Amino acid sequence: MGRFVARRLLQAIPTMFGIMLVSFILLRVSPADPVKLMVPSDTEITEADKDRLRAAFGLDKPLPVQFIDFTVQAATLDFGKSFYYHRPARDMIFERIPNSIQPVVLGLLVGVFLGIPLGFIAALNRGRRTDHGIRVTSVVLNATPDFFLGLLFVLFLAIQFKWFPIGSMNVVGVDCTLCWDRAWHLVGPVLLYANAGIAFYPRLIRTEVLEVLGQDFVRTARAKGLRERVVMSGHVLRNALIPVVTNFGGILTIVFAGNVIVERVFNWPGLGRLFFDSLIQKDYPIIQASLVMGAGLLLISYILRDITYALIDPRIKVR
Amino acid sequence: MRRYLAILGAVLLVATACSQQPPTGGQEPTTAGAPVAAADKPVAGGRIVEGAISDIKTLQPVISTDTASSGAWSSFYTSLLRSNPDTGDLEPGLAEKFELSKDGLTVTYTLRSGLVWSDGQPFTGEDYKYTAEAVARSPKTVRKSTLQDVVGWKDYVDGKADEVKGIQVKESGRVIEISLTKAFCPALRNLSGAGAGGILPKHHFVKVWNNKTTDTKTNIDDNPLNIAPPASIGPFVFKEWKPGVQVTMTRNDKYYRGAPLLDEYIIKVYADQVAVKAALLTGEISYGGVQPADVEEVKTAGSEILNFHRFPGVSSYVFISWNGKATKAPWLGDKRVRQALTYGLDVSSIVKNVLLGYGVQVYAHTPKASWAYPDESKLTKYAFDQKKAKELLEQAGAKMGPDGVYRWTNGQPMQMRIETNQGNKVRETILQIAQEQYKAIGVKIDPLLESFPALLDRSVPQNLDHEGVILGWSLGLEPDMYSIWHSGQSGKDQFNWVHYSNPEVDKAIEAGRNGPDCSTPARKAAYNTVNQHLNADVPYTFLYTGDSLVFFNKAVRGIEPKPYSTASAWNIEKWWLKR
Repeated sequence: MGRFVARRLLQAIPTMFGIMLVSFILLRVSPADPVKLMVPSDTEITEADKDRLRAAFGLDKPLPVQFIDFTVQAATLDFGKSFYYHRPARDMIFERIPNSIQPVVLGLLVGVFLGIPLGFIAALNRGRRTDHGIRVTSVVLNATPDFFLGLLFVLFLAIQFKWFPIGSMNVVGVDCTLCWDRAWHLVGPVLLYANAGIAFYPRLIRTEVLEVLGQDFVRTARAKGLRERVVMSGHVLRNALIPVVTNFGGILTIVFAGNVIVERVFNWPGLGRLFFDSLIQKDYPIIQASLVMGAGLLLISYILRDITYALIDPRIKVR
Repeated sequence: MRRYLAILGAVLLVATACSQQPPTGGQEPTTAGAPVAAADKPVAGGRIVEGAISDIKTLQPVISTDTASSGAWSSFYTSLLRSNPDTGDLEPGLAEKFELSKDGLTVTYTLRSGLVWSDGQPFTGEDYKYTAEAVARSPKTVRKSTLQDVVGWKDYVDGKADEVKGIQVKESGRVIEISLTKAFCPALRNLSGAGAGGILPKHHFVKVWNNKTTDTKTNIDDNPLNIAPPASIGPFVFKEWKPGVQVTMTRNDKYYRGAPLLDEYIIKVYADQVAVKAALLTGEISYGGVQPADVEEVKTAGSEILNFHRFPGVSSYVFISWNGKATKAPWLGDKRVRQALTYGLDVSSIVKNVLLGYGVQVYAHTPKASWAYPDESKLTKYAFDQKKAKELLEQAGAKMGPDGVYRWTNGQPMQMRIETNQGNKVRETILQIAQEQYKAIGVKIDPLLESFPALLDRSVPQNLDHEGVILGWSLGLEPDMYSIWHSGQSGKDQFNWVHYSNPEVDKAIEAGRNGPDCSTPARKAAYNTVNQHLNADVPYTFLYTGDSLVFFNKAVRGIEPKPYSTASAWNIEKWWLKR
């Protein structure tokens, strides 16, 4: 196991390097340099002052040198200071991670704990009304874009009926994490994140369960007189969950990606919005820091996924 | 993402369409004459929340570049002078007297007596000087050029001196005298913020950076005070900043215009205009701005809790620029063609139907509200006239081709691009209208939508491969237009990308900027000349100045909307909450 992890980590280095190189080049060839975007339209500024700004941000160096700087930064996890906030990019990202993680993790849990049982129920009731109901609902939810659902939530449940807040993490003037106010604000974003699971898992699990139910080992298990509960939990569910693990492949990255839409709709001050705004302003330090950390988490979660496979599927051996 | 936002907007529109009324055009009373609810007696206390649509980045003026940040730090750090809310003219602020010498070479500000920072320390000319010197040594500021004509500036910037010689603080800090190397008429306004726009408390900042140094490697660009202002000379004192969420401020009891009635003032950050709209409708924020297309909806849905205020725009306008040296459209160098393009576009209908009446048509550079606005009766209005447009094209030598498109004198069909930034719905619509209306006068337009950075990269003097560009200027209240219209400003990345060059305009711009006569009448005359030329030469087809549209919660009282109070609440110390 130790050797497996070590080998995978070594393999991750060239992948990481490739990701960094491509994103670095894309970032530099896209139009307008950051200094130009930064200067407000009515500001008289001399070319010499612009050069001074570029030098202050390290943009005057040749591109290969800038890339070497970037790799050194990635290795030391110190990405320099934001062009606009003048604060270390890493600190800015770290201070937003807790904000992003709360709705993501809760949404994931809600999605899993609602989605998987629903799929199971649908499979066990194959062809009956319950099955149709669950399938139609999940197909409809799956076909509806997140932002639209979020918007409907805001429009009806927040603006119209005022049952929930329109967004943000707390009511103005309240600042707490473990409190009813935060829970109340989390409902919308969590539902939106959970939607992916609620829409997707039932169909996945239903198919898998139906397939597993027809397998010989299930018949054998029943034939040897095991109780139905043991058959279901020990044999059927365990095997049906393997594709769910595959689906969890990039799980750690949702901290970084997939947040922009939910965070905009619910005005959630998380990483997605920070990254999106930084992209628009070409705030290289924040973009580069997010990319490296996001890519790193992706690679790590793939390794974790492979380990998990081995844990739940005895046929897969880690070497 | 832009597409997603567009859909978002569209969905909201659809969802509320049943409650929408037809737009009213321009019949809204402007704020200048709006009645003010003053029947109740003001009470102290309470908190107001302003909705902002972009994150606050820093609370230190020297390194700040965006309006969200300046909207926040301007509550703590202010300039020496204010703009009169009725006329936009300079008026006393921290300085009770201000004077530009006859030769335009010396600026003198005399401070009010007894000014103190919120921590009780006296406010003096040393604070001003410190701030200017912080700008000089800051590698990350974009505002160095403001002070470049101050005597001794370059020596200090380069570390050859330990102070800016041209800034003298006299009479135990009450008088600031600034000597300039050449006459600079906008000096009184432009120098009133010490180059940064807001003056810093030296007694705190000197602990992180001493200005009496020749070491150019040190500066105030990175220090903890930048995100936690230690003292305030404005109406509010910094309390707390939650990045990406809000800035909270409390009343400054030592504010020289009187302690505010409100206890707390919060600027809360929203992801976009849609979120601000929702926050207005639920009463989460006390005031916030909206887009023209949203006004009717918010008015209807929020009629019980919101009041609408419409402020005339004072310092911005939108235009189509015509590149006089376009390689692919040589006809744009001919003034008659540009006039034809201006006659051929129905600008008044754009104001009425695209802006829904929330704006005014403009005919030259200086915004209508400015003291330097030219004599309008002498300006050509270019009323929509397709026949006249065609006549002008023919006078210029164009001949109608068999396909309904004019041929230029070299036989080339008159076909060209007009480009603008994708995602700006108003400009995209203007582009569509221009395409249709120019087709009717025999000029074929290829519309081009680009990202804003791409458009910025293309609309520069060194690139001759662009023809028409729809963009907007956001200007200050100072009418100096040197960087946009002087023929010397067509260098790399400069703003005269249409290559406009008119010796008389150059002369008048120089007179308005560098005197020798810096008196208001003389400058007004100079800008009158410039604007008349611009109006006749039409290097841009000038379009409109948009209004600033704000909703206030009805509980907020004491607001006195004035023509020049859009950017900052000029009398915020008198605002109060009805409870």
